[in-house]
Order: sequence, then C-alpha cells, then structure tokens
Amino acid sequence: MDSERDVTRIVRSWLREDGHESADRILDDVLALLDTNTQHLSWWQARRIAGVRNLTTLAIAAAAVVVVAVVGINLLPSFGGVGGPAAPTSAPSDAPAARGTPGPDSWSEIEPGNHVIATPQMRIHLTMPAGWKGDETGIGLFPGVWTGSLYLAPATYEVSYVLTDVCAAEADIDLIAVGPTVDDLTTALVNQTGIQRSGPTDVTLGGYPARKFVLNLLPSCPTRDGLWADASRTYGLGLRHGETGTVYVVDVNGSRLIITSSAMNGASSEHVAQLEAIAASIEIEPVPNAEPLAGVGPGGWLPIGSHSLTVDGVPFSFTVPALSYDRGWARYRKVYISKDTVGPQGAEAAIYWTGFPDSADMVPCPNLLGLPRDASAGAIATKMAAAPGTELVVGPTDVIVGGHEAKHFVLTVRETLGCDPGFFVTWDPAGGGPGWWTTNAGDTIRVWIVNLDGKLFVLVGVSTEDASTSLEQEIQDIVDTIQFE
Amino acid sequence: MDTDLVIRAQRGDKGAYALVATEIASRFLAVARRILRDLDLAEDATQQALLTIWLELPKLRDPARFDAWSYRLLVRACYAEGRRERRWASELRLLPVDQSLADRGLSSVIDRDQLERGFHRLSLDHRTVVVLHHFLDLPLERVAEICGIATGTAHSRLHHAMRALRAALDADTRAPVREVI
Repeated sequence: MDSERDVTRIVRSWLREDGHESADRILDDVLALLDTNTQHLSWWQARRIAGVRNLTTLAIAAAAVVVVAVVGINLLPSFGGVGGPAAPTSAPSDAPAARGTPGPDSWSEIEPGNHVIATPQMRIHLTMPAGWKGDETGIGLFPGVWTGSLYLAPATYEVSYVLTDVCAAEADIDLIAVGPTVDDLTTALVNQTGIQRSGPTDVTLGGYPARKFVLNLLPSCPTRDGLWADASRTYGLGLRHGETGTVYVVDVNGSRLIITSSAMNGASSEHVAQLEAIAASIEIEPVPNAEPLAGVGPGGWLPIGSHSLTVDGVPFSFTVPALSYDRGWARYRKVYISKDTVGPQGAEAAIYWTGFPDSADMVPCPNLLGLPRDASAGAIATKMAAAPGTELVVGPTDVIVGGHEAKHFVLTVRETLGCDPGFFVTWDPAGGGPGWWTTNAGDTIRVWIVNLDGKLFVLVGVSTEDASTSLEQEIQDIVDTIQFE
Repeated sequence: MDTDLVIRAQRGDKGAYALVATEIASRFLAVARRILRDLDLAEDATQQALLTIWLELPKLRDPARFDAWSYRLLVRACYAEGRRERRWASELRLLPVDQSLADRGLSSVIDRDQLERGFHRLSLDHRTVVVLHHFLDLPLERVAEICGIATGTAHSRLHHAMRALRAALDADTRAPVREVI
C-alpha cells in the first residue's frame, strides 16, 4: 500500500458502497411501538453543561415555558381571588419539591384575578388573565405550540457572575463577577457582548424603579443555557433562538430584585400583550426583615471536601472525593447529588437520601411494596430486595453507616416497569438537576437503610450501565464518609 | 435536526417523533450496518435506538444536542447487538480467501474482502470511530463526544484502526492469505 492517504481513500470508498439499506420496515415497527411505550419522565430544564469551567444551569433555563427549581416560591391566590384571602408564607429556601411532573400538562389552571408569588424576600402581587397556568415555581402560557409559549418568574438567587460574551464557544466561556446592586448588574449586562440587546430602559415595576433589558440571541450564536450564574457558577437565564427574554432589575429600597420573562417569537400578539399586562400589574411588597437572597441557586457543583445537609430533620455530612479528572459531583437541592463523566447528557451516578416513612420524597413506589409505616430496617430491606423486576446482587447485609447500624443490599434493574415496585428512585420530578427520576433496566441500585435510634434514613445510590467502576466506587466512598450529627 | 420538532417530540408528540425518526432512520441503519457489518444486527440496533430515543427524549436536557445524543444511543445499541454477535460468532470459523478472485486480479474486490476481514477483527470501539469519522465525516471531537471518550482517545483509536486496516490491505498486496479452517 502506497500511503496512508491511499488507505484512507480506500476505506472511505469501501464504507460508502453498498448503501441500499431500507429503513422503512424498522420505521413502521418503531412507530407502531410508540403507543405502547410511554416516554420516561423528564427532569426538565436544569441543564448541566459539560463545560470546562464547571458551569451548571439553574432552573430558569432556555426551555422557557416552566420556570422550575426556583425554590421557595408560592403562587397564592390573594386579594379575594379564588381560594380566599392571601396566605402570606415565606417558604424556606429548601422547601420540599413541588409535586407533579413539570411542564404544561401538569400545570394547574390559574383562575383569572389577583395572585401572589411569595418569595422569602418579596411578595409579588400580579393580576392574571384567563387561560394561564402555573405551579409553585412560576407562571406561563403554553397555547399548544412550543413556539408560542411565554413565562414570567422572579429569580430567588443572587446573580454573582455574568457571561462576558454570550456568543463564545462553550470552551471559551468566561464570567465576570458582579456586585450586589442594581447598577452592578446593569453595568455587567450592558458590557455583555455577543447578544442582541435593547436597554437598559428606565421603567417602574411594581412601584419601584427598574432597568429593563430585552434580549435575543444573535442568529450566528449558539443556544445559551444561561446568561449569568450564581455564586456556585450555576447558570441562570437561558435563552434560545426564537425566544425574546426580558429582564427587569428592580431596586426595592436598595435591594436588587430580578424578574425575568420570556416570549417565544411565535407567541400571538394577544398573548404577548397579556404578558406585558401581567408585568404591568405587578406590585412588589418587601418582606420585613427578610433574609438576603441565597448566594446559590437550588443546585450546583460541590467543591471537593465536606458538605452538610439536613434532610427530613436528619442533619448529616458527607465528603466529595478528591478527584480531578472530571467535573465532580453536583447537588440538586437536598434531594440528591449526581455525577456524569462520559458525556454531555445525563448523570451516570446519583445518591438520593430521604427519611422514612414520613418523607415527602421517595413516593409512591415504596408504598406499592406494601411497606407498613412501622416497618423495621430489616423488614424494609427484605421487601425491597425482593422487588419485582430486579435481581438481587448483594445482601441484605448488616453494615455501619455513619456509626449507625444499617441494612445494605444491591440490586440490578432487569425490567422497565414504570412506577412499580423495583423503581426505588421515584422522587417527583420537581424540576431541575442532573439526575434521573426513575431507574431503568440495566441500572444498579445500592440501598442503605440506616437506623438512627429508631428513625430510619434511606440512602439510594444509583448508577447506569455506562458508569465506570471508579464512579461506582465513588458512591461507596461518599457513603463511607457520611456522619450523622 | 429541527429543534422545535425535537421539543415537540419531547413533549410526547408522536407525530413529531415520526418526522424525527423518518429523518434519521436511514442514516442510522447505514451507520449501524457499517459498524456491525451485519444487516440483521444493524436493523435490530437501529430499531432499538429509535425506540430508546423516543423513551428517553424527555430526558434530553438540550434539544440542540439531539444529533450527538441520538448517535450516542445508536452506538450503545450497536454495542449491545455487537455483544450478541460475539456470543455466537465465537463458534464460527473464518473461511479462506476466495483465491479465484485474486487470480482474476480483481484487486478492488480483494480490497473489499480484506477490508471486511480487517474490519471484523477490529473491536467495536475502533469500528465505531472509523465509521463515525470516515463515513459520517464527523470531526474527532464530535466522535469523542458521541462515544463518551476523550478526543485523544478517539485519535488513538482511529490511528490504531487505520493501521490495522492498512496491514490487512498490505498483506493482500504481498500474497493472498489463506486462513486454515
């Protein structure tokens, strides 16, 4: 053979010949199977990026219809609207996850009239027209086509960084730190390049002075998962092509409030007018003596080292291993931590934690196993270890976790049964986070049921078939570091 | 791929997914056949990949990355089918080179035959990189992304694979190789 070039030419020519396969039969078969194969739940919105700078995404991402993972927002009827007088609550920043599958199909219809979005810092009164939907995390309109959707929501985290160039390639993304004032953020957004921007325009929102920006991606630039980031460098405010984003930076007695809205370019003029009317109806009521905004959003990368959480009243700590070859573990709220190593989509390992049986999480599949509320760790382990659709690999055995007795077993999932016994990871997809919400065939499930002086605490480590041995070991390593206070 | 179409399919729109699947099915089958070198296995892998894409589509966090993500699922399906192939292939024996072709000087046919043999000897990892790069013309950075490997690993696999294929072709130019049953 004469040269490498010849070999390449021959191989390329060989690969391109005999290309007469017909996929018609396959297509027919697949399309016929769609009706009997329900799509798996999504976690929507919170996108983690395989960027070199360890950026993750906050909930207000470019999918743009539902604003999820905005922790601690309650959409409450008020002013005598449907549901009676307002129930002024300031949900804690680690409030339990919203229930139901995020997305337009699960939103409840909002009655026309006055409502309140209550954050720990502000109560945002707004007047809703008919036809809009929302959940505890935002309001939006999905008129049947994606390109016609709209939303509005406040940010409940502090914006600490702004992308310097929205159009930069992912590997070249750079952030600039911004201070806490309206002027700080305004200046940073004005200096942001690679984006089509109008503003800042001085407006009044909710009775307070505000700077308004209207933003669009440049046609030649990539869809952006976030235009800014919180202190953990987790993205917020995603923007995609065909979407117009509006940012209000409001000066509420010296405190910075950020409200964002989005309208896909296919939204009707009537709906856009409704969105503008909703914004115009906003009245802002600061919460006296409120705690400052959270420095980080509901998720983010975990620095190597020790971390503390309180889940279902159980305070504990764990240590993220010191590994530098990949992007590390990320936490989503208090529900789980997860990690991906082999690509840009999806985690390959996750650890979920919850109390039992009174936790708001871990429902409803354990119930389907017929576990009584007063079940012992051993009884739970025996029942779970024999769950249909799984194959027991290890245990149940007696182990020690964090100095406490625990039952441990390992299963592999053999059948995709939906939310049936065997699917232990069934936390409601409250939105956001690089994890998954059901286990799939091929996944490995490691369960530790820890007896904390009579109170049970359940740890579930899940890994996919793609997970490397070292990644699986990291699950065990992290569990080994758990200490209960 | 039309991102809006992907998003509609993510939301359970079967009609939208039918359009998505129609657009990618032939290409998927072509890729799978070239990786697996077996039409039956390739059809199974393609069908499995198309079904998995439908099932997992709501989990795709960035619809703009549909292409890379869907190829990744196809590659996984090919690996799964390839493992099935290995289980029974171990009981097969290689047939000797058809000497009559060589005698007739049909070098291109011999090239194909030798390439086929050389390609079969490659691991699925190496075949995948060759097909994605030389058949789909994907840059190695994207090949690496699809395969979930470092770009350097993709370079290394391609280099190894092409060296092996060259050796297969070189062997043919030296003398017809006969493998003993």
